[in-house]
Amino acid sequence: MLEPIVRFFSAKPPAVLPYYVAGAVIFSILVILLLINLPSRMRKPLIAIVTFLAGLFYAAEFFLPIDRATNKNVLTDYLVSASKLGSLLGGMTLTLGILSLLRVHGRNIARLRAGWYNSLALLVAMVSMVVFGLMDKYGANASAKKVFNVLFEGMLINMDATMFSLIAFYIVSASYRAFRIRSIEATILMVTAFLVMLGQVPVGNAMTDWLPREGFFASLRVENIKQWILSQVNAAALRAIAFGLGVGGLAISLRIWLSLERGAYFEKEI
Amino acid sequence: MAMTSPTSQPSDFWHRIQAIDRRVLYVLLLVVIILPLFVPIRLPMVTMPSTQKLYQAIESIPEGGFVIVSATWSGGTRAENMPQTEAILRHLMKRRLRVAVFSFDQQGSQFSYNIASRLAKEYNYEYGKDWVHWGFRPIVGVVMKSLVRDIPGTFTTDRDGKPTKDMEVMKGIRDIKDVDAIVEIAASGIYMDWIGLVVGANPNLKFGFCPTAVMAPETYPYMDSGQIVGIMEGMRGAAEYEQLIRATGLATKGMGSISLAHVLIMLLIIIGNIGYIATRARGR
Amino acid sequence: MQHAFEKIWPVLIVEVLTALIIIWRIISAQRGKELFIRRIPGLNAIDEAIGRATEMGRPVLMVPGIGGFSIIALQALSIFSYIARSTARFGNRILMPVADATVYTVAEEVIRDAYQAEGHPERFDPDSVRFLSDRQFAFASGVAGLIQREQIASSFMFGEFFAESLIFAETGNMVGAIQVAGTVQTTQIPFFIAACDYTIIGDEYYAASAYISRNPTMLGSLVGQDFGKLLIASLCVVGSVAATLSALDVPVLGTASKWFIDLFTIR
Repeated sequence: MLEPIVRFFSAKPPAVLPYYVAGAVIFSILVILLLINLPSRMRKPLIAIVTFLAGLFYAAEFFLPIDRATNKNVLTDYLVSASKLGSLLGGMTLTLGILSLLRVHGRNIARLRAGWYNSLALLVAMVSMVVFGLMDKYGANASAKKVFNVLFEGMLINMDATMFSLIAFYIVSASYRAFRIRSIEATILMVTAFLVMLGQVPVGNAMTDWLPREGFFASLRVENIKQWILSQVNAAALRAIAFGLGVGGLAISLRIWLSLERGAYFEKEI
Repeated sequence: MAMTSPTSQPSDFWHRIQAIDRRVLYVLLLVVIILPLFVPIRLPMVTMPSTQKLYQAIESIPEGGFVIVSATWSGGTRAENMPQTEAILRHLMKRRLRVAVFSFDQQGSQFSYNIASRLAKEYNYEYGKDWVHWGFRPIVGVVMKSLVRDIPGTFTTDRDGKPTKDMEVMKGIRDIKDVDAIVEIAASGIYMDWIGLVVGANPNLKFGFCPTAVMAPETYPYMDSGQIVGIMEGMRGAAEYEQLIRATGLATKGMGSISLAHVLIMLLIIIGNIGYIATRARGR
Repeated sequence: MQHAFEKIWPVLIVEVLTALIIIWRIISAQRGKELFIRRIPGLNAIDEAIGRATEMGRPVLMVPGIGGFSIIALQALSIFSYIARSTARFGNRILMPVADATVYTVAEEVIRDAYQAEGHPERFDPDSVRFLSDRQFAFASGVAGLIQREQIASSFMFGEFFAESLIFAETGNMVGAIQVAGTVQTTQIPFFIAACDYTIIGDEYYAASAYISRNPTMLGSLVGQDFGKLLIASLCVVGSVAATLSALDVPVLGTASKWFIDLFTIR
């Protein structure tokens, strides 16, 4: 049923590829022009129909019975095409994102606003990464590969690690400031936090290492108390939150899928 | 500034210990993290049941079994995920199991390849025969759904673009039913995708998860349900695992720093609260 | 589980039943049924935070997390739409750094539309919504820089947050901003609680747009959600009793309990 569509979107020989690309571009322009000029009263049902069909595809793929031998149903094979379509849309919006970056920082540089050199550094870094990244992947220039290696492994990875390590510093200042035993609940919370922290590290293990590792008294060892708190008390709360979030997600998905939501995002008629 | 006047509330001692300059706290943390790296502290360490379970799950795989290791992490979480990756790969290679490594993260792909290549030399693991690296694979959902039905079709080439179908390591591997275990080392909630899309397709598959410590508590319900066989929790889990496989590595060395950092946080919280209680008592 | 039919059909029944309950409550709310919603302090604080920014003449920051375009991001945009309408009224400057390009395109439209709805389209600055980077820590450093440079007065963080949550919250704290945050990531909630003034926990996140707008559709959906949770909670209780009876090998009941447990067991 959907076979011709899949065949149409499959890989094409290089000889005919330019025609397909040109055709796709013209088709996309026509669709965009059509959507822009569509009257509001027609646009609304169109959006509702497209949203419903897109949602229905995933729901049906999940719920339709499968063939035990192949582990698939009639829609499974089209999932890859659907994901590619999603990636394609993501790629197009990325262009808009990059344009936003260029607009904001280009203006900073052009008007020599305070800190314009930071904007310049950002744009230079962005362009270098793209250029050397492409040269690394498709070119044969050894120097370009070395530069990319410095940019990627020497700089990006380490800057990532630096930013992540900031969390350690921030958790120290945040917990020092926030943990005050203002009430009974706050006191219970702090004692629990201490037990978990002690159970997490060898220094805590050392404190109760004199207790036996087996038998009744073993449950008083700090690492076992920590394990009990995390796996019984904390996990129960996490489960409850997960159920709430799951049902909440289902409710919002339903509202969007069935176009029941009005006025949540756009005030005007779309 | 009047530092000692009892009437100038914000600057008296009890108030000051509630508001230590954050730069002082940062320097203290830096010191307690760096110091044990030069002056090792030896402390007893008890293996958590979650780590033990993961170790036993790997131990129970028959020799020559096929294990997939996914390293979905990047430079940011290197401190935790790198020792985990090293510990798990070391164990797999010690046990002479066939290993396939890949990553949903570009950086993770590079890191895991570096670690696996280094350990392969140590354990005489031949590339293509005993292990393979499938490289970086984007689009999580598509890869997972696809590997359930067709592994050689999902990973047609390795990280260098060489075809995988003739590699000895892939011999007899068709779909998920031929895989003994999957171990995911990640800094994200990707375990949900594995559970949702892959784990149920093979009842005998062992799925192990190695998250950063902060992620670990939310995975406990899935260990209780048996969907995750065992969890290696952050650097602490990696240190325990190193102990189990008798190989002192990065994690064991880092436990001193982690211990002292925890103690520092607790001390600071206590100091802040002493100030708070004293101020409140005087207020009454 | 790749498909519902691979393992068990109860998934379908529970999901469809919950969906029907939600739709039923939405329809009854749309027909005018009065519904009550409890107080959520974090959401009440939104106006206070905007008011503070107005008094100080400093910007309001809104961060929709680093997740992709999903229901979580849409929910965040719904909350930000409300905030933007207030800032449009009071003439506050806003900053909205975005990490996902798809979210960025929609966010720009949502914020622009909020200004138009308030009758102040001229107050909308196109540079206020900006794409920074889709790399987690590049985005984190970008936002932290913005917070420091612009000395924001209020910060709203709603969406999918991961390790960068504390970087945002603590940097905001350093500049003395009043901060309201909400996320579905349970691992990040403690960080927000430690560093923010108000935190929205768990499924309060999904209640936020209903709470703010008092829109009947959303309120009805919220009540439907509660019925759904009740259904799951009942299954948990029945499951626990069944597991106990099954473990005790009670005649007849034990067998029925085993069947029930098996029905809901998935891998």
